[in-house]
Amino acid sequence: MRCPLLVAAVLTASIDQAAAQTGTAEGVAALARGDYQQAAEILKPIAEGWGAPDPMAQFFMATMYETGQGVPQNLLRACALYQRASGPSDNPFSAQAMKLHKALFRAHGVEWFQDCQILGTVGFDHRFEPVNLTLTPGHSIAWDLKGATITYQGKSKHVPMPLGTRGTVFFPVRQTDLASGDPGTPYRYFNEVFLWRPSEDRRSWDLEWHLFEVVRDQLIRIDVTSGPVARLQFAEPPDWRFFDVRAYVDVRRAPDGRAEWVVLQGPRAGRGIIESRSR
Amino acid sequence: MGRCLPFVVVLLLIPRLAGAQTTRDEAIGALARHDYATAARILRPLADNASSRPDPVAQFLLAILYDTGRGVARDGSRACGLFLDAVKPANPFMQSASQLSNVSLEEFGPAASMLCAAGAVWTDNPPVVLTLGPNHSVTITDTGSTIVYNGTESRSVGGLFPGMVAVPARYTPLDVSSPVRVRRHFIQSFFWTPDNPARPSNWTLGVMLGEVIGKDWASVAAERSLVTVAGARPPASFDFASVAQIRLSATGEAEWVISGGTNPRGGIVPWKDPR
Repeated sequence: MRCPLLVAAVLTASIDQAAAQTGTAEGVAALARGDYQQAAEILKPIAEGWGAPDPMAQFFMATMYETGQGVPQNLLRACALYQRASGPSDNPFSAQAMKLHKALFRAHGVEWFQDCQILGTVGFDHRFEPVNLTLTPGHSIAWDLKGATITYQGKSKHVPMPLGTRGTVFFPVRQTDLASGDPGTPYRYFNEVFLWRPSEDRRSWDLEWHLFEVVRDQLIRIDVTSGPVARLQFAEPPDWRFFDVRAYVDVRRAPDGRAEWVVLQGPRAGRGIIESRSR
Repeated sequence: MGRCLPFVVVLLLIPRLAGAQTTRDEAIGALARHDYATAARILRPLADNASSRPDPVAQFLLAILYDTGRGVARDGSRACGLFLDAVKPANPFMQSASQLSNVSLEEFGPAASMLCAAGAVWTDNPPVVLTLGPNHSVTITDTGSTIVYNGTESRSVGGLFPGMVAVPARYTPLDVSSPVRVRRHFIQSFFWTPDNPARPSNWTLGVMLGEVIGKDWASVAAERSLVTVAGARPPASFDFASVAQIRLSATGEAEWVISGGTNPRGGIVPWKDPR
């Protein structure tokens, strides 16, 4: 009677890896015979997902992005997948990926390559939306995955702020203007970056809150909590429109008129005054 | 347990039955499960430029194995040539093949034109294993040689240029009487170099003469151009001793002679004690 159990155990142990290998082989075979649609359908989830790294699938998916076979041509994605394929590995496709990764670097330069590196780290499902927020005429802040660029009095300054790691999912950057009560600078400008950081198995997600104040050409980071403000279980984070971050945290005017941050629930619940640094 | 065995056996058979597809797809399957030796064995005949329709996809995949030395001995020259061969409009991997051949060409630098050629026919000689004595042997392949001496192994790497045809290595033992009475082990490696790796019309014979001393390889003499013969293939038989040889001298020493080519020469091979 023990035998069926044993068989079942052996089968389930090998089935995941075997399934990925079969998928990769079928995808590459489809690509080799010129069936690009099918190849993309099979290889995309294997190459872009966060299961065990599959350099062969990543390499060929990268070539498809580079040439526009089965997917719209996208050199940044090609570069990012070459990067993921070229991690430490004795797989022959890792070595080839490294060469083509380097070739893209040489063709496009350092700045473009930084975008590639971030995309290779964070992955393609980051949901980050680059945005340009205006504070007052001539004073604005632009956010991308690399950080923020503040334009003030005709000059632009870049502040590196790479918050994404493996598989991070972002909310759109949120701006909150609070009346300061100071006639010289009537408003204080806060930017909030919310993001989901997944656990290794991507079943549990930490909600992080990064709060900044923009003062002239400075981006000042406010120390709010030392960790995530919530940990939730889901297969995939919900769309930001259906998740109310204000149930967890807020930046607002305290009863005495000063600016304060608040964590409303959970083990890190608390609040603090945000001192003005405008002078 | 006994009753369950047939069940297990049936389960093991399923993937094999379902996987009976084209040969090339089998090679791709072997690559995906990291069985590179099997992949190389399937791909080599498909990629062969001497076959009626060499498959550029197979050439691309085989190039990657030669480039990284997985399932085959690493051979950058052969990888580069195969990448060039794979640059065909019918190949979905054409662009990658072109880029990777450029990377190799760049790495070869000034030697690129000699080391990397499209359309070359590669001969895969089986390894030659020569037994020189008890606990003493040498294995010669197209990409190098390995000497095993009293349990220690020493390797040296060498490769063939595209299209070159190596003649199986010839072992010449000589029982010399001077300066000491001893058996010395000489290896003669002859090779034919085509004028054009893709469409050869004549072949030039070269030679490397060497001696195995203990675990070491010592070069004796070499000549790139002993004789040139016309033909699409190298001559089936040739009197190699008429152009180069190793022999006993009148004084009982080892002597080398290169009689072919424009610069005939020769000399005594000095005796070195094995370390």
